[in-house]
Amino acid sequence: MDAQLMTPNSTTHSNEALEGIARQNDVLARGALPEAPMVMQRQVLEGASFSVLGLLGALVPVKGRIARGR
Amino acid sequence: MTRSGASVGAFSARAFALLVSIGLGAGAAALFLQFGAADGYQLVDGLRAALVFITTFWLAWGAMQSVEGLISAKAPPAPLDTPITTRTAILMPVYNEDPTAVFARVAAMDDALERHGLRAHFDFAILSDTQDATVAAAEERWFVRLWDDRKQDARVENGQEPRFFYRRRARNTGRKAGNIQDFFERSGARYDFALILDADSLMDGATIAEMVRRMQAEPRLGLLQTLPRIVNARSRFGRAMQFAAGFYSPVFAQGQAAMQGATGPFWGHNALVRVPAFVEACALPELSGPPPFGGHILSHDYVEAALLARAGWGVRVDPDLTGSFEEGPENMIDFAKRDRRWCQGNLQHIRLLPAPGLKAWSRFVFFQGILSYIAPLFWVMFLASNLYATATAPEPDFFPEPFQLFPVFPSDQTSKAVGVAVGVFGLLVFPKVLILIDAALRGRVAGFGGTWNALRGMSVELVTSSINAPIMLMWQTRAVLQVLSGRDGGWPAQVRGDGSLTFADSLAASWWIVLWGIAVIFLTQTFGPDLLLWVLPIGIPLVIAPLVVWLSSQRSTPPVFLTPEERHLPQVIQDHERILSDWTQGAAAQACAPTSAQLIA
Repeated sequence: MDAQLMTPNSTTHSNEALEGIARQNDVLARGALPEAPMVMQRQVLEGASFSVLGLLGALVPVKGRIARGR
Repeated sequence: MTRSGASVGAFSARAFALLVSIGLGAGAAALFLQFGAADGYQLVDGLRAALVFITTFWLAWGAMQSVEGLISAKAPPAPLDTPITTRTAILMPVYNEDPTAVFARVAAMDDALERHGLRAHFDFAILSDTQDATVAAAEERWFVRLWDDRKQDARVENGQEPRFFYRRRARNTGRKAGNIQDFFERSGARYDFALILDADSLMDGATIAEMVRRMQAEPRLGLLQTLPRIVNARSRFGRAMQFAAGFYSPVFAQGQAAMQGATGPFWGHNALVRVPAFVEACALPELSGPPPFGGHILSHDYVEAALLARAGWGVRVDPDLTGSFEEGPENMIDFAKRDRRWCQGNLQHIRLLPAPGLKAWSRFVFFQGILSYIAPLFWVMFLASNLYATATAPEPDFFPEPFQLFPVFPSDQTSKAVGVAVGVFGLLVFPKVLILIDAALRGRVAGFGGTWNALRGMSVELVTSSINAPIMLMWQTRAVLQVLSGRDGGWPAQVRGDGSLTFADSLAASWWIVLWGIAVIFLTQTFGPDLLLWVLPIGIPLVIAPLVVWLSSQRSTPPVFLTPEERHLPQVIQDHERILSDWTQGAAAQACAPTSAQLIA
């Protein structure tokens, strides 16, 4: 049943409207994202390489870390 | 390859652009220093010369991108015809958008794939982060409509899997980046590639297929970005942007591509990513500390591009890929609101400049983004320092020596300041003129209504953007100061469906700019009347800002700013309009239909 066919009814829930909801729930269940999980490891962005924006780092390979709290 | 990973060609292009930009910046600063120090050197003269260097360098860097684009332009490669052997998810992240238009775009792109017989290789996933319950309920209803329209029941009953999926997150943790990450963590293993879109994106089937084929052909390519063309603009402001994006951006993008090499950009949408590469490299951390510099990374796309490059994956923009579309802001207020978000996102990248292991170019891209938002502050400082220098300039001393018989006239260096001003203007206009000549020679102007119409569009765009620029400068300066002080935007509620504004809306958003305009003109007249003529091109637009904002939001029609997409509406856009029209017939009934939530309540 088309979603647009759900009939508005301000006082009672008609069978047609309830069918519409059931239909909508059915489609939402069928169209739910399929399970095929992958693991994404959070990347490290804080901390620093003392390579002066990486540019000078290409010339001067001095590296250090000033990660917060370490 | 160089040590930083750039190809020799990209490295040469970068070095050339950088050296020319530094040279022009230094030349302008030297000239201005001679002008400023004609009456004796003061500290403010050094400051002014430094500001001239930074702002000229920045303009020259932009101009050099177009020069690089013209130098490196080449004929687009022939489309690949290799079979598609991979599976791609087309991801449409949405957040409180108009669901009818969004789902109709999905249907139009599905039709576009069908025209090339490629449906079987693509699934669509609408990834909702919508937090508004009414919009969320409408999304569910329109998903049913899409499901029925695409005959998914028959597919499932035949034992096949559906090709359309919808899910909504109750909490939009991590915003769009979190939304995409959630998809990969839940369903990523089903797909080789993911085409990441925005809610207003439309892409042609042939373009999508070509992107997949290019990605299949290059196993180390992690992300392929297209240059989306702005379409469907209706207002004067929107159509000017649409014209500028269509006419100039391909050349600038080509220049960027030449300099970036395999450390290219990700603009967040209309791009194809290799799922294993993205999953391996792009899970974003939450930055320590509170916003605006801590918390979730707002401008995630630049960071994801940098992380892919850090992990050794290629990231590339292919400006030759046409058939990629988006919509733009229709008025200056919407533009400034978007700019406010981007401003915060780019300034947050200050935290990431020293992140470990990034390619040099990735850091430079962060730096560029930061500078693009801080540059207006330099312009404001330049104006203020000029006013200060004029107001505090010593009176000329015609008889510096005692008992001097003849007067000594100070050296007039005004011509050098005029030279700098003309040079700066040239840097703004020069790339556009070059692009026009190139477009005329290559026949690209035909799509814009011919050479004269393109010239007319360019001229009108030049005038209007010159009037808009000081107003944008004020909004951008405020945005930077707000971000740095940790405050929020505070925009008035506005905007009707077509993006046009009332004068009251315009006034509410820009009244404070008028006050600044009056103050600038008054202060200049009082303390540096000689500067008044120089300041008026900035002061007058500020004073009439509400009028400019209002007028620019009104409807505009061709032939001015005609674009190829307006001349020949691409098929996928035609399909979207047709589907939207079909679907919205009976929209009144749709609007009256009760939602699940309403009925349950």
